[in-house]
Amino acid sequence: MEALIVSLQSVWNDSGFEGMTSGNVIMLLVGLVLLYLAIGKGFEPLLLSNIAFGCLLGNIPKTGFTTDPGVMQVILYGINHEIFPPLIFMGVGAMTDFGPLIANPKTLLLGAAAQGGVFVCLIGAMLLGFDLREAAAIGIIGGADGPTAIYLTVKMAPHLLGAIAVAAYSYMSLVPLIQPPIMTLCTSKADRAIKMDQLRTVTKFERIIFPIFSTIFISLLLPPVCALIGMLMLGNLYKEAGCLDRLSDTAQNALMNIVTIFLSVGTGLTMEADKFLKYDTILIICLGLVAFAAGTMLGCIFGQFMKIASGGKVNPLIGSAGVSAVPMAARVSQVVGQKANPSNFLLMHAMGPNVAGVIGTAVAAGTMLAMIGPAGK
Amino acid sequence: MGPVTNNPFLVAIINMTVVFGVLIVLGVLMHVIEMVDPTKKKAAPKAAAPVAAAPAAAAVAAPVVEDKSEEIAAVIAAAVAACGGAENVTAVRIAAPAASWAVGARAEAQTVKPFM
Repeated sequence: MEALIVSLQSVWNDSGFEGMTSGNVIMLLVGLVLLYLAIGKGFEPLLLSNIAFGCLLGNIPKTGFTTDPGVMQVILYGINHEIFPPLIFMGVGAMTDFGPLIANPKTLLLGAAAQGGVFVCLIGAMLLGFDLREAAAIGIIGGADGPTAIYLTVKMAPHLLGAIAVAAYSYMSLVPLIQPPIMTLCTSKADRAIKMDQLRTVTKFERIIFPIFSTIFISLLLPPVCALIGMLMLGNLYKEAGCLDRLSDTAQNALMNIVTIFLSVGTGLTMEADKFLKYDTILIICLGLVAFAAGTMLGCIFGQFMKIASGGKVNPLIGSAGVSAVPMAARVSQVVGQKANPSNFLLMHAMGPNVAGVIGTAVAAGTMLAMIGPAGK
Repeated sequence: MGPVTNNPFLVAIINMTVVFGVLIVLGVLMHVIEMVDPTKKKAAPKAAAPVAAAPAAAAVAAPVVEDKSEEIAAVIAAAVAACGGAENVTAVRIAAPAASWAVGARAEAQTVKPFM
């Protein structure tokens, strides 16, 4: 009998129940809520469901995920050593059509203007007491670009990774809810109804040369983001080359799905109670919303300038797609434009600033890394 | 080495300048690529060919415009419904040549999926 009690005592002492804290319980509830939002409500389920499940796993005590070798350590290694974000960028590049951007390079300016949200958030974060590196990592949420946010946060403020990743991906999934009221506020119905001219045809030569030369230029200027830009453009080269279809297919589907699983589960694993349940997390989530809203607003305002400069040929709604969130932000421009004018098709026009936003966010991240430097250096 | 500056406004201004500068240079790069594109000249004559054939196409199209029978409208509506389209087709009209892009965009909007 005594042996049985000792054995049971031993099992209990080794169990997760014994090491459970109130913080772990709260985070398990957070994980369950996120799972409900992902599966029950359909908010970015491909990402949020993994993050939520990772959050559940990360808050079970005594698993040894951070100390013992195993698959979870491999996943965390991929997060902490910036392996997954560039691989995601390769898939994004393979799925993205740069044609609308090449056909209308002026839309690059909209992608640049929408990065204003990053810096509005950076200033706000510093005013709230975050240091410069933390503020830079928080600010990049405004770029609406999950991989870049993770990439920069790991370099600048790794202790904020969980909060920033969750804020970035949560707001990306809420783009269809956050953006339309701001877009409506910044434009009149007549603006939203503007039909844009058809884009010119982009030749295969242009589609192939652009990713090569833009990689060389941006990487030479900002080496810290060479991995992100390089993989984005390599993925796009697979798509456009015409003789790399197998690689393009792998980058778009198998590789993208595998890396998405690892990246999002790994992000969830970083949401441990002792790191996540802090006042700073609430501030970061609020600042992320400000960054998203500011980016959308600045994109639309710059769109208004372009409308005036073009003599009314540019629909300012496409400016809001300058925040990255490919291709959801472009789709929101399309939907809002079509509400004002059912025969309006802005999707491909909005893809220009949308793709420019991806490049712009990576450039902003590289510039901050160059100016401020990574943590610990 | 520490940060160049701790002034958030200065960081923001410098960063925005760099972001605009880089993207403007990329825009210039796109124009240069377009200008030196050796395949552009080959593409132009190909584009001209359909223009030459346009009168013939217009001649064929004429009787179609006259034919607005309910039967054709019903066939189109049935085809749309069979493809899982709108429940009620309210109008059937001939698409302008420029609308081919719009059709492409519509297809894209239906098939596109979140990337990031």
